[in-house]
This record gives sequence, C-alpha cells and structure tokens, in this order.
Amino acid sequence: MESPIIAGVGMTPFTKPGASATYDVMAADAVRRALSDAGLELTDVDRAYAAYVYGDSTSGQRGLYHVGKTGMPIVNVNNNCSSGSTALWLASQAVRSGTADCALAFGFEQMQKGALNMMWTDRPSPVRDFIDVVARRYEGTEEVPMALLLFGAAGADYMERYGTRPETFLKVTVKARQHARSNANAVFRDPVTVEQVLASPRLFKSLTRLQACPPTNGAAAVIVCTSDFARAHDIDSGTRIPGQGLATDTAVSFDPDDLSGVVGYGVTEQAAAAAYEQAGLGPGDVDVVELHDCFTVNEILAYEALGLTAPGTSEKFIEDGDNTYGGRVVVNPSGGLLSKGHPIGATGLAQITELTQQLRGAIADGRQVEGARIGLQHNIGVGGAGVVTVLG
Amino acid sequence: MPAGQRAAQLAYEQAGVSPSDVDVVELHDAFASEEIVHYEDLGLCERGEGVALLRSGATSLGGRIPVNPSGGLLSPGHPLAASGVRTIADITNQLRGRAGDVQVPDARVGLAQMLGGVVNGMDVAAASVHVLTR
Repeated sequence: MESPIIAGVGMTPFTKPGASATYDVMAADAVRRALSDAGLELTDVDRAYAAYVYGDSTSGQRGLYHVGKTGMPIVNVNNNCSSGSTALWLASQAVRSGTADCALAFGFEQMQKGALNMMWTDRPSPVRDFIDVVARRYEGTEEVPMALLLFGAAGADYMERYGTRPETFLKVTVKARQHARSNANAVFRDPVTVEQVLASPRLFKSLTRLQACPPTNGAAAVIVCTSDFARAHDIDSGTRIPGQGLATDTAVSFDPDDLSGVVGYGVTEQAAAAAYEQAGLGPGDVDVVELHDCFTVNEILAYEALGLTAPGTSEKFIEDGDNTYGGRVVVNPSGGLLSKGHPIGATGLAQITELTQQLRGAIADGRQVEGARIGLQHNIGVGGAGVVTVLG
Repeated sequence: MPAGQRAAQLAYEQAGVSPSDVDVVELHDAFASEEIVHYEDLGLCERGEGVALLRSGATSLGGRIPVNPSGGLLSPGHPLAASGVRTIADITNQLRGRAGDVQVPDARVGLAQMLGGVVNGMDVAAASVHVLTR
C-alpha cells in the first residue's frame, strides 16, 4: 500500500481562551487554509474527520458547514489530547486502504481558563485507574487537577530514578520559548530564563506553571490523498506519511514503581515502533521532531520513548544541545505545546502542519531546520492513546 | 435529498439489493412521527404513502416488512451511542434466527438505520444505513 500524500495543511493563530473566534469559525478558517494550500475545493474531499474534546456532539459538522455542505461522511473524533492525530490516523487509513482518494482531518478547541479537569462528575472518571496508581506511590494527591497530578508525579518519579537536576526540566521551557520567538502562530513568544520558570507558581511536586502548556484556542487541518489523486489535481506530492502508529495502554501503564507509564511512555514506545517499522526508518534518520510537550517532563520522557536518546540520558541530550538547532535533531521548532499552546483537538494537526512546512523547506521567519528530510510527530492523550507519525 | 435517503441509496447500491428485498428493519424512531418519514426515505413505500403503510400492518410483526421488532428506540430506550450498535446486534440476531418471540420468519436481508443530530436547518448531522445479509 502506498503512503498517503500530505496535500495541504493549515492552522489558525493560537490564542489564549477568550481571545479567538468561536470553535466553528476557527475550524472553518483552518479548513479553508488547508484547501487553499492544496489548491482544492471542499467538493474534492471524500470524507472528513473532526477532532475536539470540549463541545457538544456534531461540532465538526457545525464548523465544516461554514465551508460547504457537500453531504460527505463526517466523523467526530474524541481521543483526549491525541484526538487531532487520531483523526489524521483515520484519514490516512481511509486513503491507504483505497476507501477514499482524498480525506480531511481537522481539529479545533475553544477552551476555558485553568487546569484541565473532569467535566462529568456523576460517573467514574475514565482516568481513575491512572490516578489510583499515582496515589499508591505519593501522598497528597487529592484535590490536585488530573493532568497536573499525573505529569507532576511522572516528573518526580523520573528525577528519583535518574537523579536528574531540576534545571534540566526548566531548560525545556527555555528552549520552547526560544524556538517560538518567530512563530506568529504561538501564544507565548517572549523568552524566559531558567530562574523565571523555577519562580513561577508551583503546581504539584516540582512542576511549576511555566512547565505546563496553557489552555489555548485554535484550529488546524490536514488533507491527505492518494498519488493518483495528487497527479489529477496537480498537487505537490513531496511530503508523505510513510509510517504511522496508534497505540493504547498495556499493563506497563499501571506500574506504581515506574510512573512514566501513566503518562503514556509505553504507549509512545509502541506507536513509535509501529511507525518506524512501517516507514522502514529509525530514530537516527529523523531531522526534525514535533512532540507532545504538554509538560516539560513529557518532552523528556518522549525523547527516550521515541528512541532519540537512551533511557535516563535526557539530561545529557539537553546539555549537549542535541534537541535544538545545531544539534542532532531539532525538537519542537514551532515552540511546542509549551509555547505555541495546546488547543487539544488541533494540536496533532498543528504539529503535522509545522513538520510539513519544515520538510518543504519554506519557513521564512528563521525557524527553518536546514535540509530537513524526515520529520517525526508525537501526540498522546491520557486515558489513553498515542499517535506517532513519520513524515518524509 | 435528505441525508437518510442518500445513505439508504448508497447502502442499497453497495449491497446490490433493493428495498423490496429487505425482510426486517431496525430504524431511528426517537419520535413516533419520524418513523413514517423513514419508511419513505428507506424506499419501503412511495413518498407520501408512509401512513398508509403503517395502517396496513405491513410494518408490524407478521406483516410484509416488520420494522423495529425490538421495540425501537421508543421501547428499549435510546442510550445515544449504543443505539446504532444495538440495532446491528438485533438485525444480526434476526438473520441468525435467534430473535425469539420477535423473530421474523426466514429473515435473510436486514437493514439497520441510525441518525444523529440537527446542525443547520432541519436535516440530520449524520445518517448511517447498514444492509446485512446471510
């Protein structure tokens, strides 16, 4: 089966909650940008997958109908923070299998201020088992918002296991801000120092606010197609998806002695193995990475789970500058979730947008990774699901 | 053309069957009135003949084309995301001859239809039609 071609990408600028258009208008904006990028009309698209977490049912239709009502199949997708990539996984599967010639994945989120928490309190939380694993390991977990608890605990666990210095985590935020400086789509573009990240309000364990991504509004869209379709529509077929994996939890996610699992380390490893194998490539082939740095600790865990550096060696990887321009790979040239923001349904598709533009070599504002040929995308959601995509 | 009618046409075409081949139907009767419209959208009768089809008894158990032998959404209830899968399960049981008291004799072609949402105007946001055979 042939690799899907990335025909078009597009995203809106990301903003703080309350500073954007509504979800449906943002969604339509991103879809129009992707269609324009591909030189296509909505009537050229066979089917669409709409990703979002916060909103009523059929929000995807509401957004896409602003662009056109073609009667195509539209499927709304919710897979927590990996929703956007899950939509792309479905679109790619449709194209790979020959079910569709051209498929659209779009994602959007209109978020509220404050830490992520549960919306439905009259029923068991889907992440209850993950929280219980943390509670068996650490005290004082009650009343801590879910995401801060899980990622804060995973960070503490990592530091205990490898003796990692607190500054190592802080440097991830500093790098993210440096990368985002010239990205007009990013929420946070001002540089910060290690001292400022440390001095920001403490959330849980050693996690501070500037080590957490902000609630964000925004939308992004990606169109994939077959090579026959690309030829017929005069589409640049230079960027493809040679490998992609979607994985969910196994027993390793629920080990109180290794809390990297509750935030998706095993899921990432499994999805990455599938993506690398399908692509016939390995971590050593990768030039540029967009990974899921919802918290600083998750960037560090992802370096290792994606095979960019060996387990426990992230501190040296960071010290050596191997995660930025001039190093072995450039990780999150967009500024990542920490600086660009994390409008949940849009995030995975914004990552693909950045990587596609990087591989086209056409980013003009100073963050182009020179000579980038292979891109790697990583997007996970607690609960859980993770997607890893190889672009080339 | 309403989404429900389009989905039905796509499903009939892909399956290579016509409405007259269908032995048993499970459909989205969230409200009693819509069942009449769905008869027409699914081609079980001509446009405007839905009420007459109902009154004829053809869509009751023992009729020509029993609709919702399970009791539909109106009786078993409508846990939204579960209903579409429940109808597939009920049609599968009909085709396997395992539907017990509500078995349609020798059912060989079944149809399951589910609809969702109203976004803009009066049409549904999504319509799904499955044709099942044995």
